Amino acid sequence: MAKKYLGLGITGFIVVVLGIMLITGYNGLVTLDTNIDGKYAQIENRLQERHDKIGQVLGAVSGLQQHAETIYNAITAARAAYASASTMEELIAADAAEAIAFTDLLVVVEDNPLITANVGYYALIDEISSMESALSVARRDYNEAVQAYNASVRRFPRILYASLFGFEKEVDYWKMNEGADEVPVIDFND
Amino acid sequence: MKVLMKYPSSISMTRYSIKFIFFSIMISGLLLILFGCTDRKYPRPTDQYYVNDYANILYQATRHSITREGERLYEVTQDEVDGGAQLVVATFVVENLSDIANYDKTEIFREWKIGKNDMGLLVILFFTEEVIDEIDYLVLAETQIEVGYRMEQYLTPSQLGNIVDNTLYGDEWGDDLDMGVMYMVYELLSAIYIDAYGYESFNYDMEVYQEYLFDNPDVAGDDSHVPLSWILYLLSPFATTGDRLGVIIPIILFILIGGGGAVVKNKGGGGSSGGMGIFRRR
Repeated sequence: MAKKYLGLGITGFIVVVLGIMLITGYNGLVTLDTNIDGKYAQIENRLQERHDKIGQVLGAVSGLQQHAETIYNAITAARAAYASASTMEELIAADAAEAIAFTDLLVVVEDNPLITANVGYYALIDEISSMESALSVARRDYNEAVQAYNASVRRFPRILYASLFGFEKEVDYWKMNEGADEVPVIDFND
Repeated sequence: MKVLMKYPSSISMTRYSIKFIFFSIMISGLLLILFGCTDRKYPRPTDQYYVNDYANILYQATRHSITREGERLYEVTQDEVDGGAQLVVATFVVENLSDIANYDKTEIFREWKIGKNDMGLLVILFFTEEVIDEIDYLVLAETQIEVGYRMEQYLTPSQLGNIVDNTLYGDEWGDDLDMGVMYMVYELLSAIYIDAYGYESFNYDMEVYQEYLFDNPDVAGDDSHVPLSWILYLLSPFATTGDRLGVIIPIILFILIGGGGAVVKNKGGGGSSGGMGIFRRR
């Protein structure tokens, strides 16, 4: 009789321990997964803000289409690519294109006397430069969240929980071409 | 005879016990210090918190003024919506401009946890050393401002850019670093009080501050340090156990409570930021 109770007790204890491990493991994965979603949403917000601001910059510059058609076309193409992006890969490509186009725009406006910028232009440049910095941080935060998730989901026993509850085995990083995510330093005294 | 011998032996044992306890506490304290010494990329904020003059370039009067204004801002906005704003100023010396890239304003902001409810503002001034007529000077090379997540909706980058251009880099007080810095701090405070918290105005007078700066020149040794003579005294045979414990116990408590939570008056409000802000080079 005592042996029976002992056996039941041990089995019950093991079930409770396994149950706790399962719950904490599942909750841990949910936390990491939700963190990625939050960081991704942050990138989307920042991209939208930058997209809107670049539109305002184009409005503040006159003569760009006539005197720097290539840059003008590159910017409008980048903006169109962002507007139509539906997958993460397309969004990353549009992000890089907008970043490069913006940097090129700065250089062209600074160097070309035929292109004139109105009073609000420099304030807008400040806004976009700040946005580039914020985007750079948002991408880094996202990639750190992905790294934490990917590392966790590969470890035992979480690899079992991932299969059991249908979590992704690996989440893609936000990869940009080298130099595309650099924040342009603007020297207003030049 | 046996009874007479017992007292000296007991006293001797007590002395050994006290010494043992004393050295155990000392070794535990040292071990705690060693374990607490993690490799940090950036220095911790100073105990003044609102001003971290690692370049050692600001006058004490300026440091005290920034701290006083920082404390006031934090206190008076506590009960407001999105309350607990903190404005923190830091200065660093770099060898050349490329070394500025080693400082990430967002990482510093997050490590220092500036602003309650993410209502923080961090101003970093980078200086480079220049030799003019065989005299070393520190020259302001770059200014960066990082804005807390929630503060973003109240202060825009273009507004911050304007403030820095017109104050620190402006013609009015920009030639004098302390005046320029304080002018910038007052304008930033003004923007926070008015734009973030709906105050009608924030009044200050730069000429009054200039007088205050003249009336309060730096005094050597004004900043408190533990004098070396105290350490020598504690290590000498003249120090009593009470003296030593009187120093060791507060140090242990200081470490146990997490780097001085009981002693440091000002600390971060727990805020975070997302890279929004400005960069300015002179």
